[in-house]
Amino acid sequence: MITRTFLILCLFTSAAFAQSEVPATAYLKNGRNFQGIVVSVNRIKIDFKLEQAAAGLVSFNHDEIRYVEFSPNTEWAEAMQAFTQRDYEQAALKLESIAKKRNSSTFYPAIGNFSTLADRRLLDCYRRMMKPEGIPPVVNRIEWDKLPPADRDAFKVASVWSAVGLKDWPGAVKAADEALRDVPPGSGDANEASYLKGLALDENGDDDKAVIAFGSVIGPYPGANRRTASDAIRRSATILAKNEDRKGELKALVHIYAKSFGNGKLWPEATPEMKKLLAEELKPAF
Amino acid sequence: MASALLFSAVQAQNIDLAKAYDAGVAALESGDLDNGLKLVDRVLEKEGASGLGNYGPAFGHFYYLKGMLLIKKDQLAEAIDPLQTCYDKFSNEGRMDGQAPNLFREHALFQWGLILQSQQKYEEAAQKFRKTLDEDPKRNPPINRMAVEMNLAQCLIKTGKEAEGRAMLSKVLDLENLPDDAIQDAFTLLAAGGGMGGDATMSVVQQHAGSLFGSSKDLEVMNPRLASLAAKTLRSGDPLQALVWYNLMTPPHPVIAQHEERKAILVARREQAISENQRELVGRLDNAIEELEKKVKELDERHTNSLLGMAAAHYQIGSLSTALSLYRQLVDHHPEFGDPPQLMHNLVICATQLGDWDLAFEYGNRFFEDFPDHKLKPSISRVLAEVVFIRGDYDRAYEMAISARGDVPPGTPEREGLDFVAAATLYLNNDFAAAEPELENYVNTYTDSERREPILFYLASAKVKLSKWVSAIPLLDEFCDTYRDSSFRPTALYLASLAYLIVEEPHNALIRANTLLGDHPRAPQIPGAYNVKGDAQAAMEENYDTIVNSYKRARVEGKSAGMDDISAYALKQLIATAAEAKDHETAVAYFDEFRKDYSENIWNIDATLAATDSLVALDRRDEARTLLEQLVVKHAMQPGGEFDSMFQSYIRFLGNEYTLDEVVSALQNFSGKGTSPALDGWLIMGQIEALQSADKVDEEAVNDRFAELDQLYRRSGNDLSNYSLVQLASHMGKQGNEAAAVDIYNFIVRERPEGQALGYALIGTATLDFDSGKPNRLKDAAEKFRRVMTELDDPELNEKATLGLARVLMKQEQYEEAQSLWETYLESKSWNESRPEANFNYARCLELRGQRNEALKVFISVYANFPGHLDWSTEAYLRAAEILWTNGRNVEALKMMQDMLRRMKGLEHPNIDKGKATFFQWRDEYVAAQQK
Repeated sequence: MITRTFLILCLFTSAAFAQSEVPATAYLKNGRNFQGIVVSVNRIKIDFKLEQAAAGLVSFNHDEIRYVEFSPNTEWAEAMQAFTQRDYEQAALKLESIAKKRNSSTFYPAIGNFSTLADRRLLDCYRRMMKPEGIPPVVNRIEWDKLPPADRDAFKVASVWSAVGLKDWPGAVKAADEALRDVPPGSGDANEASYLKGLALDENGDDDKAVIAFGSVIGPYPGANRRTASDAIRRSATILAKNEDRKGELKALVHIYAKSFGNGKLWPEATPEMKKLLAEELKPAF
Repeated sequence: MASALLFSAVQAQNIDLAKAYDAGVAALESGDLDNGLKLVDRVLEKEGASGLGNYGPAFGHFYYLKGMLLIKKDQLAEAIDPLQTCYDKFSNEGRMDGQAPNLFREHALFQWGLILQSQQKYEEAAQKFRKTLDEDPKRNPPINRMAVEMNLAQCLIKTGKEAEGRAMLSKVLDLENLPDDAIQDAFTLLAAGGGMGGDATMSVVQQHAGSLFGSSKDLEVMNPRLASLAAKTLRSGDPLQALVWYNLMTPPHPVIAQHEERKAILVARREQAISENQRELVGRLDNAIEELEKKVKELDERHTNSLLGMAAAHYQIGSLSTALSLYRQLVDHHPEFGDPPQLMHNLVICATQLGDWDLAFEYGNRFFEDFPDHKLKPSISRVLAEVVFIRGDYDRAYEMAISARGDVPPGTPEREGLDFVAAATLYLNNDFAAAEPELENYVNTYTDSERREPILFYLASAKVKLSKWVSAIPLLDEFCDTYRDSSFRPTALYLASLAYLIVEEPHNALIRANTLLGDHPRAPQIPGAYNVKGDAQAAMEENYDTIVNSYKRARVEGKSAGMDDISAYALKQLIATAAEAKDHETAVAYFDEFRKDYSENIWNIDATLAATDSLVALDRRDEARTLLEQLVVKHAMQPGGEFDSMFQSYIRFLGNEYTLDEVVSALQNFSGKGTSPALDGWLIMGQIEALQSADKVDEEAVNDRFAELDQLYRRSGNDLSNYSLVQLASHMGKQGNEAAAVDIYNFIVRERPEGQALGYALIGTATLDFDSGKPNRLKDAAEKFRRVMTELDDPELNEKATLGLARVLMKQEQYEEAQSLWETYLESKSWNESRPEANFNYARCLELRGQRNEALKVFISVYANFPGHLDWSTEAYLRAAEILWTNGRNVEALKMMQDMLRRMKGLEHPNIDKGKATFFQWRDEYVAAQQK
């Protein structure tokens, strides 16, 4: 460590711009991209006025485009500011409003339009607020093919959330299994699907399988979502506490929780037995 | 870095210092280090000696610049001198008016300290850092005091001043708005140097967890650090602490996804460039794609390594559900990484421990397919055999256990599970004969095993199923005494009470039944236990009310538990008990109740038979006969033990209630005749039995019936009852038709190789072998008798076999073994078929083995106790007298012969004649001797 330079990168969104003069970047399926000013969007195509061109319009059919990155307007910027500041309630309010505007003001139906993006971010808001009940209507209306490819990955996990939102526990388990077949194992999406699966199994009274599902949340990179990871441990511990034969695993979990998530302590509702296990030394089982 | 303005007014000997300085800084920033150094060295060569005097402290900037250029060239040792010069010689103290200050004096000191630190000269470096911090903090450009503090803290930790160092780091971490990378650096220092897992470190983890990961930058910077820390901690034997570090790592998937997305774009762009023949662009795109692939591969490898560590840590502390998920990821998605067999093995172990049998089964099988010769295969087999066992696939579990245990020494913990599975699967597959030795082996080998409990129960139960009541009893008793909390105990007590009943120890049966009723009042065996209690009380001839109360209770309990068989049995016993007590009205009342509720029950036959006498007593004889005949016809199509028993009862009934002619006529003209060969066989057998029961047996009629039976055997042998077949074979043997007899016996051995029929067949053929007297056949006879003794736990057959074998051994002159068998026979008080013979031959063995005095006593007891058994009593007289005579006790011998002839006067037997002749011969010899 000879030299260190600390850089704080602040990305500020520019102020509102006139809708008729919106800069955007179109990423085409052939690997090229174009920067220009959006002139119009309709069901078939999007018209650009290229910045570097002296005159004239360039049109791209939607099926030629991977996605378009539009410069944000004030409403979108405000929603995103609330989102990045983790004020998900506020962000959700604004996003619900944007999502309803399926018209040229949000560049709908272009791939990357703000209306569909708002739905996508709404899913994130509800996920982070752990409010599954808000998700089913969003899942019902969201048009995944109108999202940038990178945003489409959430499709499978959203289905799980939707089932959980509807308290359809067997449906949630099935959706989670389907999601887990498609998402990269150990990824945030996989952890989330496993968490929801555990939740559904727990609600269904399928204790042993719930603990195994929660194990997938606790295992790889639990720090990426400490909330679900620590909740998975709490739920697993509560289940395991019911089974005299699983005290060894319960002990391991309370120690993991205290050391990695609880600053040396367990959660307030932890039972005296769990606290007792925490006080005992954790010896290697194998 | 610095402003050219500092030198703007200065022109020195054809060198424009301002331009030279700016060019030096530009070279530093652009990486053109050699040219930058040449430029700075030229300045210092020309102006260095007079720099301070001519240009003041600001000239020190050239030394600082040189130092930084050398640092960037990684010539750290050489960099110290210019940095030291900048700090020592170009002090701002005493700066003259108009002279610019040395802005980098403290920076030079800091960089000097960093070099010393990199050279592990921590004490000296710490001095430099302290001195740097002592300088004016408001100096412009400002020095990054936090960076200085963190490096100082690291030096302090390295030199043993841990508390001070950690305090300093904590102070840094307490700063507000601390950038994430500062937190990460401080944390890494704290974790790596300040004692891993210490409270301060953990406090930082908890406080700043959100800053310790989350962005792609963290992925690049923190993940390798955390992974390194975790791996080191894991190696040091602290898996829990290792998890703390692993749990702070950032998942690489979003970055990998970005790279993949970028790659997809580049690939598309490349295809476009190829179509447009833009070769140079294609080359650049190829490089970029390759670079992305390299990054993805690197991230994936790091990710997989981390998964390995995480899995190991969770596995080691027994966090099995989590370990399972991690091993599954590794096995399914990184099959070439690490040690795949070991990983799959651990996965199977986790799944087994967690009771996820399906998963254990799936991956265990994959292990066999992927690594058929791996050294862990036996371990997997051991685990998997139990998994397959738990899944209920007993055939497969048995095969796996048998194949896996070949390599494992018996009695070892590794072998225990395999022996358990082998024994338990055979039992649960109802292969009791094969299960018995396996179960016995387990019980005797693994005396302290937890699973001895079910195995001991299975063993005892298998013995019961094999009708080995005598050997089942001690096992059942041991089980009930040892495993008082076992869920099997009620069943074991029930079986024990049944077993004791069967071996005619009703007192013990009653004790077990009462224990069951007292200790396990809610057990499902309770209704049955009342029946056993009633049976035991009946066998002990307790008073009527006591017995009846037990059966009544059984009837009520069975009814409320929905156990019709139990209630029906109780009612049947109530009928029998009342009938036995001649309380015929009550018996018939119970029977009527039985017919109303249980006419289709398995106990219907017995109930009917039990009620027969009472029906007769109440002038309902014809009704009884009709009922019995209906039963006979009804079951005629189901040949077997039950039908046989029923028909025998019917014959007995006829025999008791009707004259011989009526019986024979009834059987000859039976209305259901021709319904089945089994029935026809019994109708003939019934006539034979009836005819043989006559005071004067009509042998011709009997022979005719047996001939008829023989014809039936030749047509439908398999439908005839065991009893009929054995009787037919025996008859054929007695008639001298040995071939026909052997054919029937062999048929039984071949077609019905179990139970009493087998025993009778073996004994029948063995007897024929014995009777032949030929040495080879004697050997065959011995084998058959021995087979009956070992395979059949039937007291009656055992008696016959023991007797038969002892006789063979006598013929084979194997007197020692024969003596032992005769002893066994005599010790079995209930064996009465041939006690005189047994006593005589026992004495004969003693005599032939040289124990003549002992033999004499036994011979005397034979003729004293069994005078009517002339074959043996006369022979005993003769042998006893012979012993006396040859011992010189002539008078006693003569008196004994005299006694024999007196007692047996009027009786006819060759030995009596022989005795007379012997007596006269000895008397003459004795008189002659006296006269000499």
